[in-house]
Formats: sequence, structure tokens, C-alpha cells
Amino acid sequence: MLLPLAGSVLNMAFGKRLKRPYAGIMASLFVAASFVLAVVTWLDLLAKPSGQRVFDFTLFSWITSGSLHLNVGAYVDPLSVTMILFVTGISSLIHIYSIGYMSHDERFSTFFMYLNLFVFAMLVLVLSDNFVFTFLGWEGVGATSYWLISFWFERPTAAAAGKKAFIVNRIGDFGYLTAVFLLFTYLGSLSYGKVFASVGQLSHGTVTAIALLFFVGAVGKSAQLPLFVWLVDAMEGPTPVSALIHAATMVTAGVYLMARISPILHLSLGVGTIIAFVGVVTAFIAAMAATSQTDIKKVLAYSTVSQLGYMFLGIGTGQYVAAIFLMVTHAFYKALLFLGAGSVIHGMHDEQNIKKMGALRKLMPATAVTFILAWLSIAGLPPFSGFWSKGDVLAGAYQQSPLLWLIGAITAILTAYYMGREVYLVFFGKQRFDSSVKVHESPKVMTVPLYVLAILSVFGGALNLPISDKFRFLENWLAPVFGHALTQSTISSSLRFVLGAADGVFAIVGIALASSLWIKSSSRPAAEPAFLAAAWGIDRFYDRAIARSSTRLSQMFADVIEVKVVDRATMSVGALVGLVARYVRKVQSGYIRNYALYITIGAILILGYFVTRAGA
Amino acid sequence: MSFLIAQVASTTPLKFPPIEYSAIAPELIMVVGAIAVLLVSSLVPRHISKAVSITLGSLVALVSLADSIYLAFQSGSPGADKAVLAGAVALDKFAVFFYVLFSIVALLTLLAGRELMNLDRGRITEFVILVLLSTSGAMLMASALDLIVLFLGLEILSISLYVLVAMESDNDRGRESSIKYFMLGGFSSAIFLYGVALVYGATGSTNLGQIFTFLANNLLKSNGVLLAGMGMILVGLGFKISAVPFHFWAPDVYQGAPSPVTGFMAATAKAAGFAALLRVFYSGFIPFQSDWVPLIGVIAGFTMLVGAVLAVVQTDVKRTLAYSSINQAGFILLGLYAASARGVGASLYFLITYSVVIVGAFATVGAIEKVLGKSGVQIEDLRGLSKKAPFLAFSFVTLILAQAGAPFTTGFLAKFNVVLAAVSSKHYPVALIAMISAAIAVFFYLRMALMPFRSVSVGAESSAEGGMSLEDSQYGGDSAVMVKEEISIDAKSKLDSATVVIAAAVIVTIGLGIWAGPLISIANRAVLLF
Repeated sequence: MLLPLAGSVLNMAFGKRLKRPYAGIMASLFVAASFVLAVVTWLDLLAKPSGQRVFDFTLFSWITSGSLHLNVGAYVDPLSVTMILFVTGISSLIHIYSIGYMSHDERFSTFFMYLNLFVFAMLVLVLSDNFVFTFLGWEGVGATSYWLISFWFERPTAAAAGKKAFIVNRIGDFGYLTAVFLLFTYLGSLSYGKVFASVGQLSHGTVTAIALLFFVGAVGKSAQLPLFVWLVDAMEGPTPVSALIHAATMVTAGVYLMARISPILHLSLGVGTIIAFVGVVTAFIAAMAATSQTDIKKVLAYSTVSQLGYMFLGIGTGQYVAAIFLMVTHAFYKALLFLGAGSVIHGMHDEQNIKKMGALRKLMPATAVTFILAWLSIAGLPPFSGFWSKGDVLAGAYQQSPLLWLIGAITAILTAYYMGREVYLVFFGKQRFDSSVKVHESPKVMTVPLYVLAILSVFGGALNLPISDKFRFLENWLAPVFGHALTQSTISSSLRFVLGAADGVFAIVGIALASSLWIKSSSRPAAEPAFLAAAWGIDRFYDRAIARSSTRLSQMFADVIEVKVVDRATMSVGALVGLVARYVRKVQSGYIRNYALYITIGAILILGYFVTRAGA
Repeated sequence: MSFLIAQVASTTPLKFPPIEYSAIAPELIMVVGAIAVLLVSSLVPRHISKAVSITLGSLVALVSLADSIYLAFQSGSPGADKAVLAGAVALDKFAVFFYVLFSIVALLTLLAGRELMNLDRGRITEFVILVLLSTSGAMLMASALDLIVLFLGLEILSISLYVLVAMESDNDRGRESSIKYFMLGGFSSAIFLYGVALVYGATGSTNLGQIFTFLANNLLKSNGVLLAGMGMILVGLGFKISAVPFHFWAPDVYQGAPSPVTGFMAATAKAAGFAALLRVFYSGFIPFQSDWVPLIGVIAGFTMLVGAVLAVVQTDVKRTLAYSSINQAGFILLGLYAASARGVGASLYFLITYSVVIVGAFATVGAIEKVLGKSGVQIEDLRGLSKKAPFLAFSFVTLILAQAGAPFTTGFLAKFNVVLAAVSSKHYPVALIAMISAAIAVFFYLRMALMPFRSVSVGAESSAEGGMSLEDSQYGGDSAVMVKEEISIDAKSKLDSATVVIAAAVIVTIGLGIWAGPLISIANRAVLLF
């Protein structure tokens, strides 16, 4: 866990002096080492019987004040180990990829410093054994993501996007913090073990409030409705950052948090339903928006929002394992998609408009093949990983309510469609860019991570096969974490099979639709309505309704209240202190006789005081 | 020979108490070490005498530290005072806590002084000897169970310090402040001694244990003499810890003394004063608690406020740090005011962390003086330091922020614990003053902490934006030009012993700020009585 931090510190100290690739190699090595450690931990846990796979080891206690005990420690259980495995694993790949992608950047070592710092914060978030350190990690990933989004701060859009991500996340953080305060007020403890053991004592109302507030936090971090706007703008960051932070790891922190607090969710009333509906509606709206984007990364960004919606659907319907399963497989294929997109952008010399691409499969074969595999996986075509994980979530939704399932199913068709559109526009059809642009395949250091991720995307489904209980590896592994919070599947295997077949059909329908529309043509205005391209106008609505009016409000505060009240108050306090000090300072004359006099006066005062106490 | 001794023994009724040398071993090591340094350095060739005396002195401090730690494992449980040497000296966790503290500070001071004292070759030996002797006096103060022994320690500590302040031969300011310190110190020592006499008159003893027994078992007909004695002792010790209104010497002397000496003084002399204050009032005068505890509260409040407010208008870095250290002394007093085990534990924790911070801070200032090539650093001179000497700028900012009480430094926990103790003893008004003074203090801490990162060129305008128009703001432009010319003088800090000291202070301050548990529990275990 500390290895990425060490890497980051080393990079901070010596990065500038190291030659270009070495800073990246060092950073990658540190992350890879922590991946190895994660694997070791995993094997360690695997060797134990399934009931005893929880370690809550305390390194040392940080603050003990009153009833507040804060320990620095790690909570190692199957859930957190699953998280660290895929976080460190994917981070390692993306670090390696970045060595190639960022090779021309001036602040190469700074980039890796941030990246390492991010991994460290993410691990703190995942491994912490109490809500406070989780929050530190939570803020840590937020801050590093802010730095990385606005890494190219020379571009005003990048700086603005970073700011937006930061501000929107504050709303979520507010929810998280309030929930933590409530927990502490009612339970007097913030460590996971104690909170979960005693959460049953709380009234349903309190638990529901806490669960809802945590959900607000998760909505901010995981870019759900109504706070998803920042994620799309976050694509201004370098592409590896988008892959790592805004697809595979950080945005899933909200899902992780929800899974972590499953005992609280389980006891709350109706929060699950809210989560499920927010999730599925987000999935649908974002998928619709994705059908009309022209920026290669924005399609993926909306797709990420949409997939995160699926994960929340899983959480909301009590299918925690399905949500985690989707999270892991999504991390594989979405990281692959982003890295593939990065490879395309790199090869096309910073062109991001998919309308200006086309026929790239011949020029960039490695990227094309891996990208297509990821597409088939996210589309949910059997037997790729996305089919299995999305199938689990949808089956759970069907059990809860057919309406949820229906929206989810339509979204599945849309998913296959918009990804198909992107693939056809980028890799097939006619060449639509100037032939003076020298398109080249990316170097090995970038394609090798693509191959690895492609293999994972294709076969990732093997983690949790619904064929028989024996093949549900992930479910068996995670079962002790969620315990009774997990909704048991009541779906018969035949219905399950029908649903699975339907998923496959949806994928094929979506793909067929995409190929019929986009394989030849590159412009179909009817299929790309402007309001979808503008993401239903939600962003603009925020801009008008909230950002501008609150700007005006804060302007008023700044002009009137700040100047007239706060400023004057602080200035006058400051002036008062200054005045008093300057006056008193004259006493400090530098003459010994004066000082001796003061001492005498002091002594007389003290003696005078004692005189009043004397007698008795 | 044996005949002679037998004669003496039979004729004189003097009985010598059994002397347990091991109990006062740290003091003895310091004294014997000082003599050894003197002898050895006069025997070795002149050109290596500096290196020899510093190395030997550091070794002495290290041995003393090792012995103190050894004693820490030997000494009794809290409260169970182990009085030795006919009840004149205590060997308990409290004394050992301070042995460790003083040994560390002495070691750091010697290492910092090696680079930063501007001395002729021969005189560095004197510096080493005086630091060691002074430390032995401080140790005696912390362990003394008898007011006379305590006075002895006080004088050993002080007289060495008077000389240390005036050591740099080309530093007129140093000599001036030494005279000031000497005269005022003598004055307050006299008051202290007079107080001891009065207490003896009232209780019939100078031994703290016997004073306690007497006060606990007898109802005084008239307590005036005793109270006057207590008051005078408080004045004498208040001078050492630079509590208001006995603080006037501190800014002048801190500014005038060479930086390593200032750091040593701010740590050792102050800690020794607090040790004595705790020892005398909490083990001797505890039956009169209701009389003196409120007074401590008043003094604590004024000390915090005056320190914070006056620091705001300072322009000299060392002077600002002096007021900051007055402010910190107020916080330590606040822990005593809480009059609970928790409060005293918090004060002890505050003392040890503050000592490390302040020694490091003054060493940093000394190093900055060296980089800038002049004695006396104005706050404005710090401008652009982060470019010139990034390590020093970083350390300076860390140590300043630690004094401001920034989280993840020891300073945060120190202030937090002290205020918490005051609140839990229901001393709300003074706790409130503490918060206010901390808020005022943040102003000047931040002003100093930000300065190294300001660029040199925008001198005039940005100094005006510091909120209040500082008196020197009109000179901002001038000093900026001066600094520019000096950039070429010495751009990089070398890896020398002063750097080691600064780095150690920074590492300890941050490290123990994060991994805080052990030191807090050590401090809590060293608490007297209760």
C-alpha cells in the first residue's frame, strides 16, 4: 500500500533529474510491486477457510480523543482484496502504457508522480478500516484526479474541467461527511467493524438517512444523475488518466462504498429502490447521449456513466456480487477502450473527432483488434466478459421489478449500438482524414498492455459463470462479506437461461443496428439529434440554472457582504490587533531598568493577589 | 593515611548520605564530559581541536541520552518518587523524561552549532563545554527535590547561558543581550531565592517532600509568608519560561543571541523552568492548589495573547519566533492550569515536541542567515528562498506550520491535547483565549510560511496585500533588490551537521505527528502525582 507513495515521493524528489523513461519505469515498478503484494495477500486469504477471511489489522492508533479512536490500519477482506487486485493490476498496465503515451510531454515525471499518488490514495480508500481514512483516500483520489484532469493546464478547457470535477465532487463529499458525522454521533465509532456490528441498534429512519447521505457521496464520485456532468468534461485530461481514474478505478469508488456499507443499506428503507432507479435511469440517459457524440473519448465517457449506472442498479437490487463483477469486467474492457482510443489519438496526432477518422483497421491493426474485442465485450455478446456480468445485473433487476429490467435491456441495445457506431466510424468505412497525416501504430510499450487487457476482457467472464454454483468463483469468494445483505436469487435456471439468451439477442440487435447505419455512411443527422449530443441539455441547464445564478449570488456576496461585513470585520480586527500591538510594543524599550520594573510590577501583582488569599 | 582518616571520622559527627551515583549519572556524564572535552581539546593540535571537541561533546550527549533511556526502564512507576541523595534528588519517570529531552536538545545544539556558530577556532571548545554544563544544570532542575538544589541547577544553567549568548566576538547585539539577560536573570534569581527563604520560614524545610507533608498535616495559622514565598518562586520560574509579564527579556535576547544558542535557550531553559514549576507546585504546594491554580490560568491567558498579538507586528524572524515561543509557553501553562493528569501529560508532550521544533527552527534560521550572508533575518528577506535553498525553505515552512499547529505535525496534537485538557477541566474562558490566540497566531505564522514562496520581483505590491499594512512594507521593494544581489553568494545548502539537525527535526515533527501514539503515552506516563 505504501509502495506507490514511496514511488511518488521518489519521483517528486528525483524525477526531474531522471531521464525521461526512467521516471515512468520506476513508477510502474512500484505499482507493479504493490500488485504482486496484493496477489500475495489474496493467495494468503485463499488459503484460509471462507469464514475467516477478514483481517482487521491495526498499525497504530493515530488520535485518541474522548470516545474517538482513530487507528491507522487496514481492513483486509475478500471485497477489499478484489478491489486492490484489479486496481493495482490495471494501474500497472496503465502506468506502462503511459510511458509511451506521455513520452513527448515536458512534465513527464510530474505526471507519474501524480499517477503514483493517485494509486496510493485509491489504496488508502479501499484498505482503510474506518470511515475517516476512507474519506482521506476519497479526497486524495479527488485531488489527484483534479490535478490530472487539468494536467495540461495551458488549455483553458482543461483547467475549467478540473475545476468542475472538483466542485461537483464537493457536493458528494458533503453527503459523505454528513453521513460520517451522523454515524459518529449515534454510534460513537467510525471503524467498519464496530459500526457494522452495532448498526442494528439504530432506528430505521436514522439508518435510511445515513444510507441516503452516503449514496449522495457515491453519486458525486461515481458520476450518476444528477451529478454526472463532470465526468464528461474530465476527458480533457490525458487519455491514460481517463482510462485509469475516470473509467476503471476512481469512479468505481462510489460503487465500492455502497458495497462496503451493505449492512447499512440492508437495514435502510427504500434506499435500495432509489439507488436502483437512479442507476438504471442514469444508464439509459447516458447511453442515449453516447449515441450522438463525435468525440472518441466522449462516447466512452458517457458509456462509463452508463455502465456505472448498471453497477448501481446491481447494488440497489441487492446484487452486490453482480455489481462488483460488473465493476471488475468493466474495468478490463473500459480501460482497454480508453487505452485503444488513446492509441488512436496518439497515432492520429491528437485528432479526437471520430468523423475525421475511418478505415484505421489497416493502419493500426493491433489497436483495432483489441478495440473490437473490447467492443464485443461491452456490447454483451456471449461469451465475452460483459455478457456474463451484465447478465447477472439484469437478472437481479428482473427479480426486483420487470420495469428496471426493461429499461436496462433497452440500454443494453443502446450500448451495443453506440459502441458499434464508434467502432465503424473509427476503424471501418472510408478514410476521412487528410492523407498527409502520417498515421502510425503505437509502440510496443503501449500495445502490450492492450493485449493483456484484451485477454482479460474476453475471458474475464470466467470469474463468475452462472452455469453451476461451482463456477461462481466471485460469488463464493465475496459471499462472506455481504452475508445476509445479499439478495438470494430466486430465478429458476430456465428463466435465467431465457434472460441470458435475451441479453445475447439485445447485443446482436444493437450491433446489427449500428452496422446497418454506420458501416458505410459517416453522417446521419437523424440518428444524432442535437439535444442528445448536448447530453439532454443537462449540462447547459446546470450552467444556466445553478452555476450562473449562484455565480450571481456569490457575486452579490462578494460585492456586498464580503466587502461591507466580512472584510470590514476582519480588517478591523486585524487593525485592532495591529494597533494594540504597536502601542504595547512601545513598552518593549530595550532598557534593562524598564524590564526590571515590569518584573517588579508583575511580582507585586502576584503578591497582591496572594494577599487577597492570605489570612484564612 | 588510614590513621588520619580514622581520626577524622571519629572526631567529626558529619554523616554523609549514601550517594547513588547512578541516579544522577546523566548530570555527572555531562559535567565529567565537559571537563574531558576541555582537557582533550587542549592536548590535541589546534587545527583539529574544533572537530575533536564537537565530536567528543556529541558523544557525551549521546552517552547521556543512552543512560537516560536506560534509567527510563529502571525508574519507578508514576508518582512513586524515588528520592535519593538524602531526599535531595528524585529518580522518577518525570526526571528521566527531562533527562532524555535535555540530552537530545544538547546533541542537536552541538551539531547545529558546529556549522552555524561564528566562532574562532579555540572558542568552539568553550561552546561545547558550556552547552554540556548548562544541560547538566537543567537536568538538576528537573530532578531536584529540594529548593536549594533546584536553585543550584538554575544557576548552573543560567550562568552558562549568559556566556553562551555573548560568545560570538563580532556580534555586538549578542553581547548587549547577554548583559540584559544576565542582569534580569540575576534579578529574578534573587526573587526566587527570597521566595525559597520565605517558604523555609513558613514550613521549616526546603525539601519538597517535607514541605508537602507539613502543609498536608498542619493547618497554618497565617499563610501570608508561605503565599508570598510561593509567589516569588513563581516569579523566578516565570522568568525562565518567559511567561507574561516576565517575558520582556526574551525577544531582545532571542534576537541577539547566535541562532543555535537561541534554539538551545528556547528549548532547554524553558523546559527546565517548566520542569521546576511542575515539580515545585505539583509535588510541594499541591495542598494550596486552590490558591495558585487560578493564577496560572491568568498568566497562561496573558502569555498566549501577548505572544500572539505582539508577534504580528514583528519584522525580524528571530524576534517573531521569540514571541511565538512566548505564545507556546502560554499553551504549556494552559496544560498546567488544567491541573489534571491529562493536562500535565499534554504539557509534557507539548514541551518535548516544541523543543524539537524550536531547536530545528532556530537552526534553520541560522542556516538561512548563512545562506543570505548576514546576521539577523527580516521576514522580507525570506522572499524567494524556495528557489535559492529549497531544502531550507521546506524545513522552515514545516517547522513554522508545526508551531501554528497544522495537522500531521506534532504541533497539532500538542495544541489539541492541551486545549482539550483545559476544556475537560471546565476552564472554558482560558480555553477560549487559547483558541483566539491560536487564530491570531496563524496570521503571522502563515505570513512567514508563505514568504519563501513569494517571488523576489513582485516585492513591493504583495507585501502590502498581507492584510494590515506592515511597518516595513514601504521597504519591501528595497529589500527585494538586496536579496536579488545576494542570490549568487551561496545558492545551495551543503550536507553538513546543521542540515542533519534540521532534517531530523522535520522528520520527527512530521513522523511523530502521524505516528503519534507512542510519544503521547510516554508523556502521559511521566506525569507526576495525581
